Amino acid sequence: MDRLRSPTIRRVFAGLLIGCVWFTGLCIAEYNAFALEKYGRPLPEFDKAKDAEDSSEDESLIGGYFLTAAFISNPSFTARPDNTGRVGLRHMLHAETDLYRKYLTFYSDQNFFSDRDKGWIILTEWDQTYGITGTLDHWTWRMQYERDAPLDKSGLKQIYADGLVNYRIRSHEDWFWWRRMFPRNTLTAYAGLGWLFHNQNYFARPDNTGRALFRYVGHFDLDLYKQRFVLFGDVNMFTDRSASNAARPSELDWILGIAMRWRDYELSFYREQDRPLDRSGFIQEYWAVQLRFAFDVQKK
Amino acid sequence: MKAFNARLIGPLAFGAGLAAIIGCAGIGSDGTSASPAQRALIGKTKQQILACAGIPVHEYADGDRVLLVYYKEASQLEESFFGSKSSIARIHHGCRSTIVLQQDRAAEVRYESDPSTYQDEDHCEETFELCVHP
Repeated sequence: MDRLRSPTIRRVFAGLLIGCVWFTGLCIAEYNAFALEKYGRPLPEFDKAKDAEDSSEDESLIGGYFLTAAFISNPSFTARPDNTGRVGLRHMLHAETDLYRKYLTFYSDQNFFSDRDKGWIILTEWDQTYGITGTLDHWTWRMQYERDAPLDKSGLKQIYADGLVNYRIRSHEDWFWWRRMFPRNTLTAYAGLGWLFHNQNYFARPDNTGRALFRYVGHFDLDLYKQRFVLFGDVNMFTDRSASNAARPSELDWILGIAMRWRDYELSFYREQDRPLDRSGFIQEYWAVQLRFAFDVQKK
Repeated sequence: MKAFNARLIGPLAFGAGLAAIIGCAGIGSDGTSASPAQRALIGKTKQQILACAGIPVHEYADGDRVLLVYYKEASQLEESFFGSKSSIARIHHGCRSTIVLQQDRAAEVRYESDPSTYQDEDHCEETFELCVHP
């Protein structure tokens, strides 16, 4: 597994590139072969008012997911906020509820990690997150509080509160050319800027130095097949408020993975690496296999 | 040259798999944009629809016309990303399907994304999965 390092990543990227080139050829050939036809006609008017009136009754009351991840290869991703141990397993509960329709949501994450060097089972870190989030057209915002603490002994806690604004694009609404070429392969992506306005020991590098001030985030999901196969990537950067340039990134965390979904289950395989950007130093990285189970309690 | 070829086998295989998955997704069986469920539902009776899709969230009647409304919310698997540095919530969305029955036969099937700015009709398709593949 240790061989799954940079040469493998280069191969994965090369594979993606080759896949895109092949598919583009396929798609262009097929696009010319078929005429498109729109299905269905306008609905009768008499029920539109009732439709709007009742539309809130069929929405989610509480939704979320449980996940369990096994860090199948972990040379350095630590199992406590003080950077001791190495993660073996991760368990997480995510729950959220809409406060105002689909536009304002409260959410919470409860994250637990175990230490593979202590037998994999005993939990060694508990990260709690509470926040509110909202959307307006292409924009998403959130306010969040996070507290990362050790569980099996007392020690360093990393705590912050931040605000984050993202701008989202979705190929089927925003890129007509994409929709025409890839009608079944939605690309969703967002990028944003965050500010850690309260920071109690939330570090700016993986080696626990500096104090984070800003975060830059980016993310994409490429729907390969009906939301059953999804390729995803995520980037998270922090800046150091004690650095001479507080806007310059000091840490880069990236994730690249593929997910397979079936009904409420998702099996994913991904890699994460957290590395310093403004100097050499400690790099945290791992490969994981993860199972997620989604739940949803409907209002009706 | 041999080493070069060996290095390419992995990417080529991965790329071919990816292209196959996307390629299969992009082309309808009959070359139209009408979904399999929309085609399968036309002409079915109310009883047949209830049997394969379950009870609708709303049902309205007006003379010999009946509307059945189904709603399917997107899974949280789509709506939240599990980053190790906290999750990121995404827009809540779903798909509402309206079936118009005339003289007890489905005459129209319409999909509406909710919110309308988030077009995603796959969830309407999921509602009628058993109608297409009993």
